[in-house]
Amino acid sequence: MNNDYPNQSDSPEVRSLTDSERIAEGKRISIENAATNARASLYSLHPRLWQEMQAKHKAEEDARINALDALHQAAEAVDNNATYEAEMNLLDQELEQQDKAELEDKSRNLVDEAMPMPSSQVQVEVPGVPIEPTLIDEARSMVDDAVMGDVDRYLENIGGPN
Amino acid sequence: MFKKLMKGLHSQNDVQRRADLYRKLLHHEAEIGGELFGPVPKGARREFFCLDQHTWVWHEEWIDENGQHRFATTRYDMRPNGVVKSQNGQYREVSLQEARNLLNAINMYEKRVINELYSYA
Repeated sequence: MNNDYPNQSDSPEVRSLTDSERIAEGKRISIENAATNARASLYSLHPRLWQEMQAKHKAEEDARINALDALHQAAEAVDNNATYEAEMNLLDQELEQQDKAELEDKSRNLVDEAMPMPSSQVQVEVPGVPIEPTLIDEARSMVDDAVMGDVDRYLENIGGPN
Repeated sequence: MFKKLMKGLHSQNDVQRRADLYRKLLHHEAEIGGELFGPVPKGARREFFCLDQHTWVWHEEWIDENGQHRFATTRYDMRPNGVVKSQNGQYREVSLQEARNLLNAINMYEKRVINELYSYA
């Protein structure tokens, strides 16, 4: 704590800084006023200078407006592009989801096809082991045997190939 | 630059300090002003500055082909109805082209000096 300057703004550093700011501000204003006076005097001396300056300012203003327009259009183009990109992304996502759904369907079918049938529907053939004949097969065999027995007996009576 | 000029002036009394500061500031303004017209030939000196709110000064020194030291001080007094130009004590007319050049120089001076010296932050 600097006891020599109880009020901080009384210290030489702060006072000189304030002076500096004041002087700089004074000089700035003084130069601006001098430039304004000079312009007025020169325009008064040569009115054509005034016209030239007006034309120059107008050209600068037009250029500024054109630049702003261009900037605005560029910003719109960026926005449009962003919208387009967003739409394309959405479309991509939708297509991706469709593809995914189709793929899921296909894989589900494949899984269904590959899935084994229920065990009750499966007939397992083991080589060399005849399938146990059903009652119908047995009956059909008995009929065949009976028919074949009749044929054999007929052939024996007429002196057939045996 | 402005802060730099302020250094070392704290110990002097206020009047002296202020006078020194204004002299230094004017010197730097004149240097900046001298650069507005392009490069200065070797051995020559050029200054352009705002003396007060109605007076602009262009000072040039050079060595001529005979090795003689020459100088020209041109003073422009800005009046409400026109410009009074005096060069080495003689009054002269300001042509349209000279007025155009002077106007450009003043515009550039205003911009550069304020930016380089008095943009105090």
